[in-house]
Amino acid sequence: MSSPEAVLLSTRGLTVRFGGHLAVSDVDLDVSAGRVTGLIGPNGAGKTTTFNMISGVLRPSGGTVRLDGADISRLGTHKRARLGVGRTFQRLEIFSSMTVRDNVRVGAEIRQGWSRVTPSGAQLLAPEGSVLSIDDEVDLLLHRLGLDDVAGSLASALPTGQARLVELARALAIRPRVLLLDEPASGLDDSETEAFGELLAELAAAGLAIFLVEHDVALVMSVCSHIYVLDFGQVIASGTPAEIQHNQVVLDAYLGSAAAS
Amino acid sequence: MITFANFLSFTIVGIATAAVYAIAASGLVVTYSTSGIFNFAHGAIGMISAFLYWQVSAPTAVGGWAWPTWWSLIFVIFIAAPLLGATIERVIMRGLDGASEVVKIVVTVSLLLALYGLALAIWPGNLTRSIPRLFADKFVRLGTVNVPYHRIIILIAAIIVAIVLRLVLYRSRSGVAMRAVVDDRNLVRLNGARPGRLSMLSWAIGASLAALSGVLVAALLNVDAITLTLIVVNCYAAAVVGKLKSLPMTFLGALILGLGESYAAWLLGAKRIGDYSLGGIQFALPAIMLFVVMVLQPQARLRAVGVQRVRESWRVPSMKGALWGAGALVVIVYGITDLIGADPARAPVVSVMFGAIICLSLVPLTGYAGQISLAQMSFMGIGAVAMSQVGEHKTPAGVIVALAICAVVGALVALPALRLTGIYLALATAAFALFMSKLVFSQLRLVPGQNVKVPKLDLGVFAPSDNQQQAMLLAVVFAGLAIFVVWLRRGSYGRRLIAIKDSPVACATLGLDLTRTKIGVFALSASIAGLAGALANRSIPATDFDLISSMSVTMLAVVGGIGAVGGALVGGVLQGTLATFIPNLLHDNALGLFGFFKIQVPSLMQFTPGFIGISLGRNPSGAMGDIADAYRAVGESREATALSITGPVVLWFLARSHSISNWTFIATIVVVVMAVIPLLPVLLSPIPGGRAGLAGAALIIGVVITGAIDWGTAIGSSAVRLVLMVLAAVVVARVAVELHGAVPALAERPAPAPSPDLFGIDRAILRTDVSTIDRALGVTEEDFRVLA
Repeated sequence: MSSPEAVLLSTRGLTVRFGGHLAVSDVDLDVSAGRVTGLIGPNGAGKTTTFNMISGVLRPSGGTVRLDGADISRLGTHKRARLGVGRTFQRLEIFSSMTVRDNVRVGAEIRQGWSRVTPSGAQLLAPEGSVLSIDDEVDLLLHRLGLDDVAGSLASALPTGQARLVELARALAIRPRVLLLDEPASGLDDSETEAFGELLAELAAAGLAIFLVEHDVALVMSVCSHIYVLDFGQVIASGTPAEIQHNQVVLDAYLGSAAAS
Repeated sequence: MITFANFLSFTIVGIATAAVYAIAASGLVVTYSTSGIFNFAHGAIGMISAFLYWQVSAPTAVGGWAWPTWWSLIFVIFIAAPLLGATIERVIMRGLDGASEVVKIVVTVSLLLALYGLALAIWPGNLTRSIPRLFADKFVRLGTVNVPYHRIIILIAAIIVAIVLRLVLYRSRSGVAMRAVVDDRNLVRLNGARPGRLSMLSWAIGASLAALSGVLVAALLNVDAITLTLIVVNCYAAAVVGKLKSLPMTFLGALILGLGESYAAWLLGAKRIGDYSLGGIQFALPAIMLFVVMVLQPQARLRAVGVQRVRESWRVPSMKGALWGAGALVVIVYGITDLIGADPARAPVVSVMFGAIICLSLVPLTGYAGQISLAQMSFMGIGAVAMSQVGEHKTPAGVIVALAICAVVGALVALPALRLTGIYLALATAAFALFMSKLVFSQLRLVPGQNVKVPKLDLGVFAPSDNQQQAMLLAVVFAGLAIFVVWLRRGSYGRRLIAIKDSPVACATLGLDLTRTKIGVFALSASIAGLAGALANRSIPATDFDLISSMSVTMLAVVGGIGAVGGALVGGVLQGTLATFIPNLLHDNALGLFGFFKIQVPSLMQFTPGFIGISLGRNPSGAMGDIADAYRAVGESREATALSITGPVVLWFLARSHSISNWTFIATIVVVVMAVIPLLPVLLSPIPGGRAGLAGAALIIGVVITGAIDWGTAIGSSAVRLVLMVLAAVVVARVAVELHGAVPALAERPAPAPSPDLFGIDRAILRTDVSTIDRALGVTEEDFRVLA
């Protein structure tokens, strides 16, 4: 068992080419358990592409992805998910013809199916040692994400912010070890964002490795313990939030106005 | 004999065939890659064009118009076909923006069936039509082999097509824009091009190429509707080599296929393996090639495309509803078969239930998981053959063998295709259906005399001995399967299937093995179809197992309403009525317009189903969606339900005791089901301003008047009778609604209310959105033109 601070997910030399265009080039990232790691950068910097390569949705042209030391670069998406890589999507991928509850329930049921072969972790939001039925787990997730009121409505009828929370609840239903969140807070208002930040902190404290792509700089700076900055497919800086805020390269490339204000 | 001269001549034949495939396939690729719609009717367009060419060019002695050859060629290839292609795009395909893959496929399959039926109706198959080859008597001598001018012309045509397409797509403005449309339709629009006009252009080009290939093939063979229509399978077998996108690779694929077919006919055509003949090997080659290419292709990568808002909507069925419905069905089937005294006359009920089971096989696969199969009748055939081979003496074992074989074969067929994107399953199953009918169902050993005699199921305690018992058996099987399918849908497996349809990529990131799940549901679907075949209890002609039948079944299942088990029943009813009942009942009737034209009903029925299928583009939920909406309120009111049951039961007893004739029974049932029952919930609920009593009285009077008419003798023609009955129902309903004065509009389909802040974020902006925005901003097309 790895210690909470240990690197759980790492990439080395991750590269992908779309035709002649080098979308992500030689990217090295380390994501630790028990922490929120940020990945920021301007639009088109390759953040979502990187997530796609980590989760197995996109095949890299080169480089490796390791989970807890094991090379998972050649595994399919569903196998990585079974090993503990959960994710949400920048462009929503909710199950639009189902209710919110069924969206989360499908996640839990799919996990229940494969966990007979590949054991999953424990539900981080439940009290330690508790054994939850599928229904209880779904209720818990809906409640913790503030989705009780809309549990019965069709997922396609939700506004973006809530739909993103449904995706998060669904991803948590597979009890991941690493969670890739692609702009989860876009569509949330200020108070919702604040509550969301607290939830991320709680999940990290429970031992989850969270990898966060987000444009809300305030949120990123407040919850992340380590931040990578991507520009034109390359890591141009990395460090603590304080270091990033004062990094001249980052200021020039991206943060500029936000840091100045 | 393997000699060099033989090799040379078969190579030349192969190259000419390859050239025709290349022309046809490149048309298919152009349309698919620019409009995103895979046109299963590509061959059918070529077929219609070939018939048209025959019509205009043939001598007057055989019914043609005797136009000069060159003018006929120009007319068909450069005027009629492009016009047809552009019209199809404008009228049918453009409405498919935002429709699901299944609906897109079914609409072009319907177009194929409509064109095929139309050709059969206009140019009946009892006449052999041939197109003279160009320079028929001229040839070039190549060594010891004569190469006719005709084959050289085909080759030159293919080369010209290749060069022209290359120039058009890479050098012309429209061509570059056409290629851009594939990548991002909306981006192209933002950049000032008009995807609609470009799609129309690409369909026109595609149709023109289809026409050219159609005329060329027809000159090599004869103008034969089925051969020309199914050339689409050869086309896409060639096109998959280029992943349906690359033209040079498509030409390579066509070359491999053309030569392969020619050599196969030469070297293997006369061979036998044991009792089995390889006579059909060259026709089965496209399927073999398709599977090899698919196996060689790497697994398609998943795409996170953002949620697609699909227009179909289905409620989760309730178990209570399923149980009641299943019970009611069995009772109704008994009631109907019991009323029909003569056993042969009960045959349509048997064929309805038979069709319903096959349609039901598509509900989990297509309705839930969003995967399509165009080979259900092949699986039915496998079931029938298995039963006929194994089941002669211990028949229940035959059913089990049939189920098992279909599941295994289904899994094997689906495996290579399911690793790839959705369209490949449609391509693979269609090719499989063709393969089966050319190479398996044509074997005398399995299908003696082109008929499979399926023995009856003998369970010891029960063995169907007449049509009524057979109908009851099928009804009970359908009811049981329907309950099973509803149970599946309501459980975790069903949710998983829906999830796969909604977002495959999200399923994968939850740890779901997509390929395995999809293969499982495909195997289930194949075995349900196989079960129908095993239970057929009759002699089935081999033509029932062919690709056209499979396509027709899938189309009618989707028309009936693929998302619900009730839709399968509607599909079965459509199949039974359109294919058997109406043509048999109304074989002497014709539809005419004051002598301008006159068409026999059986001919009409050849192409009507296709046109019904095409209309799916406008109503993707199929008939069951509308029916469910109309009757939903009835099920929710206890009184309405009770009355709805009582009425028909009373009528049935009246008919059974010969108090009323069967025709009167049918007429009153039509009025009760179409006019009275849908209005019951309204009459029973207090609506301010509504005169329920008056309307109710009108309904009762309507039923009585309908019942008083002596339908059996007063009207001589069955067709007129049926039309008048429906008319009576409509009039009665209309009168009742007017008298009531306050009937609420039928509940709108529960479309999920689009949330405005998702607009343009979670889905692509559709054409309708753009026009809404344009209207809101007061911008017109004219303004854009001025700006440009």
